[in-house]
Amino acid sequence: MTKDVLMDIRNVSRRFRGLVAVDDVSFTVAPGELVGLIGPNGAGKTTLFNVLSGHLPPSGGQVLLEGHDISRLTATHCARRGIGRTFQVVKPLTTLTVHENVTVGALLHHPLAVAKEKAEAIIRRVGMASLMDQPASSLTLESRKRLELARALAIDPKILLLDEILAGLNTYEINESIELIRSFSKSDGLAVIMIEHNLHAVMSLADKVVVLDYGQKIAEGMPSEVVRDPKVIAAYLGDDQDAA
Amino acid sequence: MISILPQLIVSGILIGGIYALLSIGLTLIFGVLRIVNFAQGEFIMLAMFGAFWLHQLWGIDPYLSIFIIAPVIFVLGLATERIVIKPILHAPHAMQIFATFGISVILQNLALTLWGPDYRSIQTAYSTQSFIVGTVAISASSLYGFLIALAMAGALIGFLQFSRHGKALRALVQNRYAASLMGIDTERLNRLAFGVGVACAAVAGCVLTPIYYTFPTVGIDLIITAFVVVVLGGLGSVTGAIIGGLIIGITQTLTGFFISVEFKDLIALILFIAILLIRPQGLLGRAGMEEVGMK
Amino acid sequence: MSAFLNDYYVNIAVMTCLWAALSGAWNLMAGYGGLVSLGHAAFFGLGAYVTAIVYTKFGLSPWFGLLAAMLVTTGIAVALSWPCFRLRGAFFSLATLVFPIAMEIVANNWVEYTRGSSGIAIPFNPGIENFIFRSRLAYLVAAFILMVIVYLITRWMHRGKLGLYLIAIRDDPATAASMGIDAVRVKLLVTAISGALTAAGGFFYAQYILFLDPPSMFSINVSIQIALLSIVGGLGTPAGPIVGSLLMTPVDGVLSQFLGGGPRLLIYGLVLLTVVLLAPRGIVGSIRQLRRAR
Repeated sequence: MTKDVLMDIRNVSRRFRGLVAVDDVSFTVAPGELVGLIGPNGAGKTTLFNVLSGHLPPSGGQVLLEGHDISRLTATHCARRGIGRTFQVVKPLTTLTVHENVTVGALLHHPLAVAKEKAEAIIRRVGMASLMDQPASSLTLESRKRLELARALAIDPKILLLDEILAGLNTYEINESIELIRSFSKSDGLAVIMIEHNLHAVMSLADKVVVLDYGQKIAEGMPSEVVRDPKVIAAYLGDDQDAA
Repeated sequence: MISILPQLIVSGILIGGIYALLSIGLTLIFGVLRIVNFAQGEFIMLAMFGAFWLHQLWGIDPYLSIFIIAPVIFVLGLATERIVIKPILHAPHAMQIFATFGISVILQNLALTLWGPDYRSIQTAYSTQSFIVGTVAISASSLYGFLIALAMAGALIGFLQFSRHGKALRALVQNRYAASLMGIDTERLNRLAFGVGVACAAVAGCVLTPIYYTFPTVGIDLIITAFVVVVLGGLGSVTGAIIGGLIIGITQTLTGFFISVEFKDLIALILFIAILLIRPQGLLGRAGMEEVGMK
Repeated sequence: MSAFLNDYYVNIAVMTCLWAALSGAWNLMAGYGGLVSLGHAAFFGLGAYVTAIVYTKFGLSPWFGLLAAMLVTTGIAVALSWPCFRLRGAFFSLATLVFPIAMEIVANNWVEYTRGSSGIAIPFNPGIENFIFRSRLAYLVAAFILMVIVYLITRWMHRGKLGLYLIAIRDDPATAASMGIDAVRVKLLVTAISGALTAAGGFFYAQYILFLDPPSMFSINVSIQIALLSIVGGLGTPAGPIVGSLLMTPVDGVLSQFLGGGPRLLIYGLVLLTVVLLAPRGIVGSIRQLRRAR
């Protein structure tokens, strides 16, 4: 049973002064599993990510990675344990090139020469080969989102936290990215939690969907089940829709 | 030893009020422009020389000279913002630092070239005057300085709280981006904030002239004190600057008396590092503000 | 007369190398990590003082002094900077501004070791074991070696692991953390390297000038000059500090003959501001950009 759990999120809460942004959320992620994390704006999705990646300490609860409690670790140590993440508001290292950006990630587990090669391979795989030596500051939003992904992949993560990497992309780019994410999760056995507003993408990708509303988990299950859950419909469409 | 304590504390509070005024200017400029003005101390120094010469040449009282010097420094601030600050608002940190630091070096050495390194002081009718309250003697010029500093701080708080420009400035401090979306003219307000910020320094300089020595490098001592005050009170907090100013004023007076005047900067450094370790957001600052840096 | 002229030019060459080395050591922190120290005079003066005290007070060879200077300065640089790493950007710089002031107070008051405001004169006993030479050319060789060492360290760092990590932390701390970078450790490492090299510069200065007193060793002007050369030459480039020093130090040597401290620093300030506003990449950075644009 525990063997099938890579990340175990147990009753995690996060409060900011009076506001409860994440309220007693629990779910698990298996190796190679792709979990969609959805919910209306302000539901606490990004805050939960910040707790999982160590950028914020939880106010309560535990996060276990491969059975070890990581909830008190800093972002640095979470990354070293194998948690890779992207940022919703993209944060490239603007004075470095694309290749250097990704190399920085690869340096975590590899010496410089190997890291450079590895970075190059990842950049090719995410389809940015032609931008290799461009400064990150010159990239379009789409390329910046891909760079986020490439950087997160470069640290050899066991689990990848993707924060709205499809937002702002056009349909073609979204389909491409979906293929890309699927290939990482299926062929490399990488677990993924993705925050996504694009429900089409979530439905086609996710093995499991977790729905947050006002910081609480209101549903968890197969994508096809979750979309029929009345609580989820109410959260997305507003309560007055029940009457209609 | 103990009987002197009330005296020292009162002296500390009086000088602390002036420190508060220095620090409010620094905090305002940082809050609005996200720029640390290293030249703040030199604007104080210029005001001090201004007050000194107005008194020397025409016998103008340093408190009256506020009405001449503060507007002049305000305009100088507007010009500085236009020529130096505006072009580097989005430059890397290092360039922002050296832009204002460059102004500081220029002004300091301009003063040194023009007026030499001498320590100057002025004698006024109330220089030696003091009020006795119980066992405490309050020097008149310190008291006047404190009151003017307090009035200025009060006026500034009122301006920020109630006037249209003041509200717009506070909006900028909270969220530049949102403020610009709301149609607030950020460029004009940047200039205003810089002008008002250095005008605070000018007022502080004028009230310091009767109680302190005027010399070209006086700004360095003052800016470091102001910075410790700002860190102690919490970055971006005007009330914090006032409380911080009073605490630093008292601390410096006490160390100056019980240990040595020489050590007051060392104490400031120790205090400063202690604050960083224990409560990096300062007394009234929001957690994380100290890490905002120039972002 | 010709011997004097010769000495005069050699002296300028020595100073050019020394300032290039000092500025290069500063550039490691400021140019890569965005740790813009305005207090490097503290580490320079400390290096010089430890050297002088080890020699005059304990009678040990300055070579031990060099070792002690580097160790002590590294320790103090790390201890002082550590709490300041919480501060970003200009706030870090403001904090560092206090370091030399604190050092000067200690040097003025710890008379037993530093001889206070009267300063320390190092006796002129030429010999390699004392690192004191009759010929200025010997000093030139030593200063040149120091400059080359700093250059090579910067080269090694430039796009290596340490350099990339520093830039990552400077550009975005949250991103750096998400890639497993321990920002405090990286900053401590570069501060230690920079502090040790600056102390070596202080050691050289002590053995070359043979006299030190608190106001000249811990002067803010030292910190300004250190920073200025890198900015003029090109911040964050290995060759920048050397180019800056080649350009500025000889000019300064000439200027100092005619102008006092005030006007001279006034010119420094104007140069600093002009470069910041008009060519913020410095000479090396601007040339690089032109080449790329072509």
